[in-house]
Amino acid sequence: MMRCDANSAIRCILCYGVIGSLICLITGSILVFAFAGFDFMTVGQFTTGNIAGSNMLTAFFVGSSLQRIATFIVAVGVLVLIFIPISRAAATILMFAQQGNRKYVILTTLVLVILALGFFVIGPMETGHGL
Amino acid sequence: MVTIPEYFLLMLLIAFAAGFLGSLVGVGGGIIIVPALTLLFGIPVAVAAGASLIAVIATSSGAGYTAFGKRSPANYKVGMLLMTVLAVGAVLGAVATVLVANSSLKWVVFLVFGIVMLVCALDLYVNRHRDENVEVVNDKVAAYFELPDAYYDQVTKNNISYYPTRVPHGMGVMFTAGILSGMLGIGGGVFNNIAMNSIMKFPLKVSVATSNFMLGLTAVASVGIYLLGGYLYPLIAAPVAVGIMFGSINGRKMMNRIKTSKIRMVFIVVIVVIGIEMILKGMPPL
Repeated sequence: MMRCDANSAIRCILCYGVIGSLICLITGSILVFAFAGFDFMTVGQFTTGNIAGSNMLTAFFVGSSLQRIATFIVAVGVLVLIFIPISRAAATILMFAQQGNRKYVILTTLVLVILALGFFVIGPMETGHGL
Repeated sequence: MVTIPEYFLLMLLIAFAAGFLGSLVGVGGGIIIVPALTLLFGIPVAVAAGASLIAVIATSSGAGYTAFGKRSPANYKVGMLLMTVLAVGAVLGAVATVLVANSSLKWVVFLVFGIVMLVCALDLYVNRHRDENVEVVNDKVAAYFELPDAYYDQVTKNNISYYPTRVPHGMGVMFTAGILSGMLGIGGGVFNNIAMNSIMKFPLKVSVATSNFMLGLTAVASVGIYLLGGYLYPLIAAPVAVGIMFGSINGRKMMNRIKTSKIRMVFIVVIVVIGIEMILKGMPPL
């Protein structure tokens, strides 16, 4: 039976995560400039609701189709980045499990549960997006 | 008026510097990113804080990308042990913020912790020539949690064994840091290093590498608030994240090549700056 190497898994997550995120962020940013004009607005207009000002919740729904694709790619890059530490911690559980270290499997799982609680329960409660 | 191309170029450079410094001493880089975004570009504080969290995750990931599999000095066991108490503290801190919103005692907390940081900086400066902890300490709690380990120092070309101690004290500091982080929104990188290096006697390079790993997880816990609150702007975060990742990759490579005493001096300067910033926040307005 083939055995999954947890160390390699963590290495792959970091490697592909960082490279994938960088590719999305750089490509998306270049496309935003290409589709919307090079000096189309000032930074002050970033947060005022136009295409460049789309936040992560609205990035996929505003602007022309080409602009939407560009902002979508940047947003995907940010999302990939956010999921790197979570995936890394999940792979760490696998690493401790392979070492037969039950103590640290429990501790790491506990950390992930608390983080999930913060992300999905306490965060939404504080912003009025409660589940 | 700063145009978007100007913003991208400037932020790439500033974020590169923040990522370089952050991965070198194990802090997130928020102390540079937030003031840059708010003061230089007039971006609202909540939006800047959201971008700063992305910067912290980028620092952590960039540093890990460089180090992992190349004899990283990070100690994942102490990282997870301290993350447990830090995360519990952060959740309690967030709940406490809701219960005692705008407490008049906040300034006392800022003031006390600012002074504690300056005392830690003084202690680090006085003991700056101290050898890395090669002496054997028979600490039962550290042994129970399997914390004694070794790392390969690329500068001295030696395997350095270390035997941490005062684990409960370090956990206590991290629990308090978690509560403060949840209540006041201050970063945890400095506290990670104070707990691991100054109190538990981990070698500085181990503390820095482990702190970088922990910072990413800590930031993820808070980023949900900004994401769902609509304060996370992809095009504001993009140059910050790209600059920070390249900076942290280079900072981490540099960390492996320079002497611990030099990293310690940079860390002392960072603690002094943050300590003074906290004291100023704690001062009543004139």
